[in-house]
Amino acid sequence: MDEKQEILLKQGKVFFHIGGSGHEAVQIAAAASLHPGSDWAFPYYRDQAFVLTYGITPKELFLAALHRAADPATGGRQMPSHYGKKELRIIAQSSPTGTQFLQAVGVALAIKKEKSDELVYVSSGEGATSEGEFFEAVNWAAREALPVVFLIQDNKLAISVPVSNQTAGGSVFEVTKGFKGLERFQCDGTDILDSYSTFQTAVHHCRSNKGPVLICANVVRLLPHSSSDDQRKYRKVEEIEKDRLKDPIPRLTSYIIENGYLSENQISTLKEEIKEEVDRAAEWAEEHSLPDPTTVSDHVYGSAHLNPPKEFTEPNHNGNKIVLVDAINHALDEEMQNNPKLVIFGEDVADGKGGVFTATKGLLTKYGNDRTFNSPLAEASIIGVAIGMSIKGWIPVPEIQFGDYIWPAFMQIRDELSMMRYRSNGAWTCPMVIRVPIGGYIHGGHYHSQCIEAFMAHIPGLRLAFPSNAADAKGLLKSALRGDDPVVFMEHKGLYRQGYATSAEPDSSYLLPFGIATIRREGTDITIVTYGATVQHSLEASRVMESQGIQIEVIDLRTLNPLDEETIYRSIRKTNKVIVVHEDTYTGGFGAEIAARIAENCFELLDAPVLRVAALDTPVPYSPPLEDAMLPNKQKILEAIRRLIAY
Amino acid sequence: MQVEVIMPKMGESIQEGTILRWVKQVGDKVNKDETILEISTDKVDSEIPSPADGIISMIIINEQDTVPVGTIIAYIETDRSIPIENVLYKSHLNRRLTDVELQSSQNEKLISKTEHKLNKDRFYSPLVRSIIRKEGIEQQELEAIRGTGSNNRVTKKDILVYLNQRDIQKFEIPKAYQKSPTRNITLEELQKKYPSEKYRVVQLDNIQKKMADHMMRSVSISPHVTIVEEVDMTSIVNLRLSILQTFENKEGVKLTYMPFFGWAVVNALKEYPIVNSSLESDAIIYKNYINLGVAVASPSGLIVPIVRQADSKSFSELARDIFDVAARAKKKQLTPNDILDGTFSITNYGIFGSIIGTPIISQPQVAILGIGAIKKRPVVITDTEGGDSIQVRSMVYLTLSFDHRIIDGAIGGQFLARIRQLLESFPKEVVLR
Repeated sequence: MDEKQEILLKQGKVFFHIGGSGHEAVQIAAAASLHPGSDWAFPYYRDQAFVLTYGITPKELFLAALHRAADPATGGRQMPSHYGKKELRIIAQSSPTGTQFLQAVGVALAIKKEKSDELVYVSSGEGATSEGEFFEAVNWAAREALPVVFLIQDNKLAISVPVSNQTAGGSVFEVTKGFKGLERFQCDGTDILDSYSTFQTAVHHCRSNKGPVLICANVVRLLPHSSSDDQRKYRKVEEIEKDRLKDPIPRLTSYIIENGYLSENQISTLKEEIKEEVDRAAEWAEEHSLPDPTTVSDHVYGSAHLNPPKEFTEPNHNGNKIVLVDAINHALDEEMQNNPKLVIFGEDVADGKGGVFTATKGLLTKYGNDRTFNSPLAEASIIGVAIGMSIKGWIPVPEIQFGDYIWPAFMQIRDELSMMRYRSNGAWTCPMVIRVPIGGYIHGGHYHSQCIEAFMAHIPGLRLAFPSNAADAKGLLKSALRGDDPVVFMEHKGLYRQGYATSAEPDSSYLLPFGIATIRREGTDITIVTYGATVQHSLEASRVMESQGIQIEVIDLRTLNPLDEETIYRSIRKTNKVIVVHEDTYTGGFGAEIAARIAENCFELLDAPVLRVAALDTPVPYSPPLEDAMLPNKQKILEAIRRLIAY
Repeated sequence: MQVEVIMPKMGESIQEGTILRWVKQVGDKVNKDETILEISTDKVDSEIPSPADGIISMIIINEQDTVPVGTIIAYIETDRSIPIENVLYKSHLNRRLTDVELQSSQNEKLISKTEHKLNKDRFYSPLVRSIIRKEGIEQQELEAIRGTGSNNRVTKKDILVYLNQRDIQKFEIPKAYQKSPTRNITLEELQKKYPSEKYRVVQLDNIQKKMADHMMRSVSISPHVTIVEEVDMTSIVNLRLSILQTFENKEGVKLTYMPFFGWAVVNALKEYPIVNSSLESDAIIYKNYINLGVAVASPSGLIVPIVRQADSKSFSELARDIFDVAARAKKKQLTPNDILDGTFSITNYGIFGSIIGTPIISQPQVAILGIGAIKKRPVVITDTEGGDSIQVRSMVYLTLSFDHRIIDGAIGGQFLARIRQLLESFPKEVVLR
């Protein structure tokens, strides 16, 4: 297979290949020890022998290599060697190796909650264990005795960097010694018999609910890292030749002949047959059509939030007045009642604390530890595990305690969560709602005040909510929890218990669809487009201007993805002047996106430049005079309004 | 030094002038005030004197071409030390420049020169630009719009206010008329279309064209309402007959009915100043003088010469002035000054026997009085005891066409009724004084 793909590459038909030569024995042993279609597999990009043994066919691998539409792994969306097949429970893999560990833990956590006898296989080279997420994953799996088989295929090289430069003592096996509850194994990964017997023992241990196992298999890398690499630049020829002696295929061949299982003739006939089959598979795949360019945007999003209703009439809410944080709490409560697969976790979310802002208060008490639990203090873990649970069919509602601390999870959000649907050509999806308190005006300083929406808005595949009041928060959160996309749900800390953000509570049937902005105040002279905490500042500024005969229209976007552009444009058709106001910093803020779209779609309607009122491009300072000077407020909005009036 | 020769502005409603003939040519020496060309503007043909001593260095606008007032039509080089050849060469170099100026000068009809310069390069927002395109606003029109935004920018509000006014008071000839296909057909084509065996095709002369344009414009600007009053002229008829000869001997002009009507109109206007006003932008311009226009059928068409300061003139002065302008109009001896700045007009179609007409307002005035033929009719007269009898009286129908934008039926009716009262109780001493 490696050889044929190298040939296709040199013919210009394939653009990338990662060879697994030298790793075959342990991969075959692993696959042979698992139950395809029942157990869950997170194979890494060198796992070709594993996936072939597990059930992916040579034809399917060639469809992937030749980027054909019919490729079951990604439909031509990802590079080859990124395996996936839903029927076999092989989860579509990505390139940033190391991210798969926490997802595997998430699937295993779901298995444990479902009390099934499935287990999860996850593999990598030894290099990827240097990623912190590896240790987070091993920690969580060991702590909760989860059914995960970690296979570390140690070929002593991460591209060109030797293991001695990666790992203390040069041994992953040794480094993982301290995790109580983790059963560790070592084997010669080039020896099929040693590998197989090791796997039999390890899998049996794991399937007996005794917790995770870690197998360190010593292998050799006979090919360069990938088709883009030339290992002669950093490896001595003698070293490569020495490794070649360990090539598992000749070793197995000799073993078979020596023990009289097959004759040399039979072996060479078999080899010819295999070569023939491989060639035929490649030809077969080549006859398949390439992806249709018009499908390029398919599978970025699910359908739940795609087409907001054209007409949406806000009902009159007549419940008791509630603050925003209670609206969140009630929405979670109602939806947990509604959907037994809904699970909440994060730092401090469990009772008695019930979240640092009490958003999850009472939920553990009501729904039990299985559905509301504390996570380790590790944001990548929270989101990585949530992805795994979501893949397994649960609706996780992870909480990141402060937006300021979401960044360790950014890799999981950006490269994994948002791309899962697209990279698997729609096969795998990750619906979940990441709740994250954000925002300033609370004297929270640099690390309790950040707005994060601009970073998130840049990511295709994520839905974004940013409510300004309790009723919207409840309606949007309930919609989010019933959707099929990952949602970053931004909750403004400054609004959690703010008087003007309280609302009469909507009843439990109320769902506010994403993508419907609301006009908080009608006006004819200037449009303000805003969301979150600055909605109130804009309304206050508008009231000041009203006394001077200037009518400001204030649009509250409510969700940033989908973005209700039509409401913005409709307003500008009336006012012809617009200010975009947001709390986030100015440069590259979401206002820049809104302003650009207005310029693109409303250029001939504009009677003045599009202005932005945003925070200064500095960190959010702690001391009130500094914080006031940095964040947008009524006064700064008034200045912008006056500038537009004078224009 | 180069001195500009400019198409003069011959009256407030006049927008353009046509060059009939260049009396002087490029290279000719001219003295200040010497006639250098003849032009025809709305209603008046005129000789234009040179603004300076010098040499005609360049003629920009050719004969028979029509340009907006304010347009530079020629240059005169005043420096006599420069050889003629150089003058001409220099003016040739200026050609490109003057082309630009020619365009820009077209815009000066509504704005001062400094304002115009400011407006020429000003910024227009995308919205304003799209409105300009949609509404078909011409460059010169645009530059005339006063901007209230920063750096004189025309704001959305400015252009909407302007459009609102333009819709009401469109100073330009209506597009439909301007672009009417008959206008674009040449005389030759018309002659072909209407062969001489059956038709006679006569091209409008300049004044006829102006009249056509002015009438069309007035109808499109002002919503006309016409009302009619019946006036008993018997006592005036008798009075006039009794003093006809005396008056002519004393004043040197024949006494017509026009001074009687003029006198009544002037006195009624003093009581109803809005009828003597004009509407500009969104403001009514009241005038503290009355320049009375008197429509006259001249050989080249209808013309409305002015009796200036009619409000400060005695009856006999009115009579003399009316006679004078009418006589000069018929002899084509009117000067541009004779037709400028009228504030109200009278037209007497009665002299042709018509009894009722619905006259068209002479812009930018807001009303016009039409006078029918004075005829004897049986009329029911009620005496002081309340007894009715039928008598033969000299009656006239007066019509008032007024601009309903600013004059409503009540004011129009009261004004016309006041004229009737003034005429029916005309005080003899006014004439005999």
